[in-house]
Amino acid sequence: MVSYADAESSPHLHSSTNADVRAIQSSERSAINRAMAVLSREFREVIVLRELQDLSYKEMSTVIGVPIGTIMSRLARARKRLASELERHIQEAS
Amino acid sequence: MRCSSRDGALDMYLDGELEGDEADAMRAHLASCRECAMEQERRLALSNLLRGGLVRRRAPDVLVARIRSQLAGEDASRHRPHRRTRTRLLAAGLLIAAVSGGATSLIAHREQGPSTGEQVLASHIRSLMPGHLTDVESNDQHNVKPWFNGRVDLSPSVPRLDDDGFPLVGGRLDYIGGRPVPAVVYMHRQHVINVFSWPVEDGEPAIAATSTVQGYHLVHWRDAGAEYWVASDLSVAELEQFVVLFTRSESSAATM
Repeated sequence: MVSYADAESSPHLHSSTNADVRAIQSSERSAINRAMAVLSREFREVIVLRELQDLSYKEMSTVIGVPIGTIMSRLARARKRLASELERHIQEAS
Repeated sequence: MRCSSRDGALDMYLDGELEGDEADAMRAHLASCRECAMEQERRLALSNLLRGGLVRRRAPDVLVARIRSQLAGEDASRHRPHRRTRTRLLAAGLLIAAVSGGATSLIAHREQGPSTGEQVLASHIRSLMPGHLTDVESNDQHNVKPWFNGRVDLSPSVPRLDDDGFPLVGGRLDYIGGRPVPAVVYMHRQHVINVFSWPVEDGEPAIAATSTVQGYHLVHWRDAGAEYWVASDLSVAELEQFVVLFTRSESSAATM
């Protein structure tokens, strides 16, 4: 399994001019966008609220209206799905 | 072999849900368990990738602060169910653009200069003066929408929301940012709601953000290609309900 740490330190970075870095950042962004796009609404919701908005499990539970246990399992499944999608997109890009 | 017994606990630790002894125990475990340490690295890398890649798509901090304060208020008044409804609505509004709106993009927020909000507010107040509300007066979107053809460079959304208690009143031509923009007018319990919209170049969706100026509430958001501003003296909750309905019917109309 390729981790994202590996993907980030891809060979291109060794001769990292600013343009290279920007190109990689931009391809990362598009990989993220495409990976997020295939997630279900429920999965995107928990990823956005946790990773981007820094909401706690309890806050997410209130906002979404499901029990904390559901938040935890949904978040775990969402991350797994997102990771495998990202991996696929990053491999396709390289 | 994965250290599965720690799986949920590791998530909780990384999400900042463990405190004191529990967090210490997890730190000790991470120091000795290679499997969990690797999983931690993968998770941190994923988080960094997400936060780095989506950093400019974050919601404005003020909105997050508002969710927080609403949630806190909710804790303090658990016996008032309407607050929950309101929070759910707010969350729905928050997530409409973020989750169901743009197919590929999440949240994009570009700070609006106060000038746009001030201009929107000025236009709203001006519209309340006698004879200024509508250029075309009609409860039928099939009259209002075509009226803007050739007058503005964007065909505005005019969803029918009568059944939800927000009847259409009409439309008028207004000026914001030095150019003509469509203003679509709705009514709710004698309160006027103005919806302004204009095309934007980089049309990354932005979530709805609410502000209050001089007792008027402004909500603005952006979907693919257009910026929206809504002004009214309705309560924030009712105005946000309107925005949720407006954006919902707009996106369902777009997919039809």
